[in-house]
Order: sequence, then C-alpha cells, then structure tokens
Amino acid sequence: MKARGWLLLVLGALLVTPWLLPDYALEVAIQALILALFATAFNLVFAETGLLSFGHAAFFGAGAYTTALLLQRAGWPYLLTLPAAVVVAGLLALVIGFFSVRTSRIYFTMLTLAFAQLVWAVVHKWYSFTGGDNGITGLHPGALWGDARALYYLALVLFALGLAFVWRLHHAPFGYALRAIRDNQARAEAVGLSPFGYLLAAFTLSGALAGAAGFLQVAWQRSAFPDFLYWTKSAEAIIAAILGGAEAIFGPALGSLVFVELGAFVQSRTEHWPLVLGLVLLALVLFLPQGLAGLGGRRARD
Amino acid sequence: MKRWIWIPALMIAFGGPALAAEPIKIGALYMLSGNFANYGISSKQGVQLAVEEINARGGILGRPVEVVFVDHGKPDQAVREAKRLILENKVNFLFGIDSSSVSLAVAPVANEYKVPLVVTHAATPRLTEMCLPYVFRTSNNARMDSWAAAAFAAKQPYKRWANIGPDYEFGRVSWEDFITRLKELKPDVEVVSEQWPKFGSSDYSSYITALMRAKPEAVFSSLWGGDFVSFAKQAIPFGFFKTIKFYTNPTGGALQALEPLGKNTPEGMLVSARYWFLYPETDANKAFVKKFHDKFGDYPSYNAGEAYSGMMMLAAAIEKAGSTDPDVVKAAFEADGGLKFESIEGLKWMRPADHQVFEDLVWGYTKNTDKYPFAILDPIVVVPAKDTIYPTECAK
Repeated sequence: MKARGWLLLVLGALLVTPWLLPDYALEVAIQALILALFATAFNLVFAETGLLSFGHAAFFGAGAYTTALLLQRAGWPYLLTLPAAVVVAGLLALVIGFFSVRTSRIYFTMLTLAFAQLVWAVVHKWYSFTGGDNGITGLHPGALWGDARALYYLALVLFALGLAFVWRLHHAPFGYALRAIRDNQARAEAVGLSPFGYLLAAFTLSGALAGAAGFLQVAWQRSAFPDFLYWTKSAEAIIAAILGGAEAIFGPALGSLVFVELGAFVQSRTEHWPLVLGLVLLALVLFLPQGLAGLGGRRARD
Repeated sequence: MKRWIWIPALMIAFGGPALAAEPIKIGALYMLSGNFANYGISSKQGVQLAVEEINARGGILGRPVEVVFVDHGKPDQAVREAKRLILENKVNFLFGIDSSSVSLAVAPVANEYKVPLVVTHAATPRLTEMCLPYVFRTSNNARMDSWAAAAFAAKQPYKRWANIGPDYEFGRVSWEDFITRLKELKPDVEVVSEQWPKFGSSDYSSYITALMRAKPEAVFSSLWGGDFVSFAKQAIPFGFFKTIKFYTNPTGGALQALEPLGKNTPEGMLVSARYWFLYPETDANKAFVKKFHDKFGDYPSYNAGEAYSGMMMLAAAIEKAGSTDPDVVKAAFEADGGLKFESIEGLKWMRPADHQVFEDLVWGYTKNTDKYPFAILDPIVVVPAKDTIYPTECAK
C-alpha cells in the first residue's frame, strides 16, 4: 500500500510538472526523461544479466538516425517513425548481441564498445547517407510534437512504458532465468536454460528500448549527430545507472534526473564544469555505493 | 513624519531612466573547455573588449549591452544551452560558436525561436547554405579560404599537388573546394597524394613519409590548431618543408598554431588567419591591438578579431534598425544590397541572400623576426573579397 501511494504521488507530480515548470526547466526535464529511458534500457542488460554494455550508444543512435532519416528523406510523420526506430535499434542489437553475448565480463564490455565505435565511424563518414559529422539538421517533428509540453508527455509515456516493461520482465520467469544465468551460468545450463538465447533476447529488447530514447532525442534537439553513437553517450547511461543505483528499478531514472539537472546547472555557471561534474559524481559514487536508491533501503528493487 | 514619501519619489527619479534603458542581452556560445579552449577563450576576450567599448560610448540605442557567456560543449549540450539563453535569460541575440557541428545544431533552434544568431568562427559553408532567415555569419567560411588558396596556387608554376587534412567534413570540404577551384583556374594540375589523418592525431610520421614518397611540388593542408603544430614539428626533421616547394594552409596563420611553434616555424609557408593583427595598418586596428594587448597581455588571435568585429557589426545593424526586433534587425542586415560595415579588419559585406559576410582575406608567408617570439606574416598578400564570392546555393 505504502509503495503504491508513493508511486501515485510521483506519477501525479510528473503529470502536472509541465504546467508548473518554467519553459527552460521543462526542456531540461524532457532531456532527463530521455536519458532516464535510455539508462533504464541499458540497465535491463546490466542489472539482470550482470553484463556491462559499453555500446548502447549505437542503439540510441540507430533509433535517432532512423527517425531523422525518415523525417528528412521520406517525410514521415514524427510519431510513425517510432516503430521503425525501435525495430532498427533492436535489429542492430540483435546483430551486435549475436557476437557479443557469448563472451563475458570485460570481453563483453570491450566487444560492445568496439562494435559501437564501428557503427559510429560509419555514421561519421558516410556523408551521402547520414550527413557525416555534419549530422542531420533542421528536423522538425511537426506542430504538435514541436511543442515542449506535448513532447514532455510523449517522453513521459514512453519512459513509463519502458519502466513497466522492464518491471514486468524482472518479475516474469524470463527475468528469473536471466538472474539465474547471471549468478551461476553452469548451474543454469544444468537445469536446461540456454544462456545464449536468453542473453541475446535481453540484449535485443534493451537495444530496442534505447532506440525509443534516440527517437525522442531527435524531436528535442531538432537534429541528429554522430555524437549520439559515440562512447561518451554509452557512458552517460552507465553513469546514470550507477549514480541512481543499478539494483533498483527506478535507480537509472533517478540517476538520470540528477545527472541531467546537475549538468545543466553546472555548465551554465562555470567553464570548469567537466571538473566540477566529475568531482560531484565521484563523491556521490564513493559515499553512496548503492547509488541514490540505496538511500531508500533494500526494498527498492521490488 | 512624511519623509517616507521621498523614497518612492527617489525611486521614480533614479529608477525611471534605468528602467527605460533595459539592457540588450546577448548570449555568447564558445568552446571554453577542452582541447580547443584557447580558441573559445580568445573569442570571448574579443567580445568582452567590444562590449566594453560599446557600453563606454553609451550602449546601442542608448541601451547597455549585457553578454552571457557559456561553454557550448557538444551539439546536444549546445542546443540545451541555447534554449536556456533564449528561454531563461531571454536574450535578444545569440552569438559566437567555434565548432561547425555546433553551429549547424544551434542555427535551426535559434531560427525557430526567432532569436537572431550571429556566427563569428564556425566555418562550414553549410551553415549559410541553409539560408535560415535569422542566422548570420560575420566571418568568412572555409570555402572562401579554399578559393583564396586556389587563386594563389594557380599563379604558382607547380603542377604536382598533394593534400594532408583532418579526416572530417572541414578537411574534406576544404580540399574538395580547393582542388576543384584550382583545376578550373589551371587545368593541368595533377593530384599525387591525399593523406587523411584522424582529427586530433598526435603521430604524423607515416603520413609525412607517404606524402614525401609521392614527390609533390606543392602541398595544400587544412590541419589546424594542435594538429598543425604536431604535424609541423614532426615534418621539420624529415626535411619536409625543404623538399617541397610550396606549402599552403588556410588556418596556419592562427596565433594558436604559430605561438606554440615559436621560432621553429618553417619559413615561407603561405598561410592565412582570417584576421591578422598586423593588418591593416590603420589607426583603428592598431588601437584595437593595443587595447587588447593591454587588457589581456596577448596579441588578438584571428578569432578574437572576428569576435570583436562581429559584435561591432551586430551593433551597427541594431543601430541601423533602431530596434532589437528580429525582423527589423534582419532587414537592416539585408537592406541596400546588404549591410556594409567598416570593421578593424576592413570592409565586411553581408550578402543578403544567404547572410554570409565577404571581406578581403589576409594571407602571408611565414617569417621569423626579432620583434615577436613567433613567426609573423611577411610579406602579407591580400585576396580581394570579389575573388572569393562564390555563387549562392541555398540548400533545401
């Protein structure tokens, strides 16, 4: 009961937010929601399977570029590009996952990083198709989604759906199987679970969800750039998840909110923002090893 | 007992005029952190000096100018900061921008909010090819530099050309524009080698040997900043600058490149700097250089000069418009065949169709002297603005 009460309170607050916030704060809130969706997607693999992907930027970017290209070249309505963005990002995750999930630990991390950088290099240089490092600019999602409030609600809905999806997976047999593989792969195989199939499915779903975040980013930014696929974008999801607490289902979202708000606050006040941001994050990680969600105790995950 | 009445009276007396003179707010985005912060910081200094002078003479339209500086970071951060300046700081204008990709990301956003953006450094021709109504560039772009280099190259007797440039849009487009133009002017040139080191590389030895193996007579290069410094330092021991007869680089005249090279700078390279602090030898320019040097202890780099001139040109446009209304300022930039502004660098003409400024471009041959701790341009050669006017192409 108590947990449900809190949930309703947070949901209510998120729903009225656009009517209370000043214009700029709303823009930052949309960014926080986009990162929250991205980090939650990343955490699906990280928390459930214990595999640290350093390549999720590729899926974020695949979603973003799919939306951008369909808007620019095919003139699709913005919302219709969502399924395409999710599918393309999911397919890319399927391919990268096919080669990566067989490996474990640091090898998995390095392999996903290498694949993502490869995709980045292609996008960065393929001028005739992706616009290269010029990116794709001047994208407008149309009158409705061009409005900040509408975009906020769209981001909120997608984030809530993503979170609910991850929550369902966590409690489904699929989630139990993933954690069994994470905790003891040999034993999981002994009881008849095929790690490869489960891990590949989790990785693909995670990538598809990250694609939805990329879809939102295009509308917010009105452009797509190869930076979306660069390793620093993957790092943002990792930082958000660890900062908020990867163990808790809402941890990555909490971390995203803090990361984005902090970034916006510090960058506008000092030229030395990378240093300040680094120190604050360092302190948070050192003093809150469970992440911000760790403050809420152990029940947070369920 | 009624002395309190003086308080509102005083507030009206002193507060009144202050209220009337509401400041003109300008949000300046520059690269103030990271590897290229030295470019952003000198741009910022140029703006600071310009605004100081504008305010000392009573502001623009009697209103003081207030500038909010912000580090633009990557495109997504820059878009967020631009939105902050527009929505929170309620700036009348956006200004600056060092990186080309950031300029391409911010321009459509500024345009959507109808906040005029004046770009002073980012040089991708694509920015003005978008022909956005509220986007202006007061510095020259990479295509004009390449055309200028081609004009010089065409007068040289050399036929065997090679290129070494950073492997991204700027490097690729600079070379493409250069060689296309050169072949138009001098059809018998041949390209013997193209080298594309990654932007930000530290090791150029393999590229240098590859270039030298191809035996070019002349080399075009768009390596800039730290890349140019690393390349030049590594090329000297190979005897690169002695083997080839002609080396030209449209960004090599930047103080950010010449200062770190110091007295080791190879002599006789034909380089440009968009603005060069020793040219033109007018009182206005000398006064600017002196004030800049007194204030910051440094000579103004090209982007400091461009930032200063850009701010002064924007001030002139607002004065001419008599208002900060975006449409009126736009009209002031476009009216009478485009705003012509006498800056410290010389005449700047704003082409109405695409809002690209054209101006005489200053080039020169590097030479070490006793007077400066770095190489200067001597002799200076100037490409008249008319030779850099390429046809307008407004991309969709």
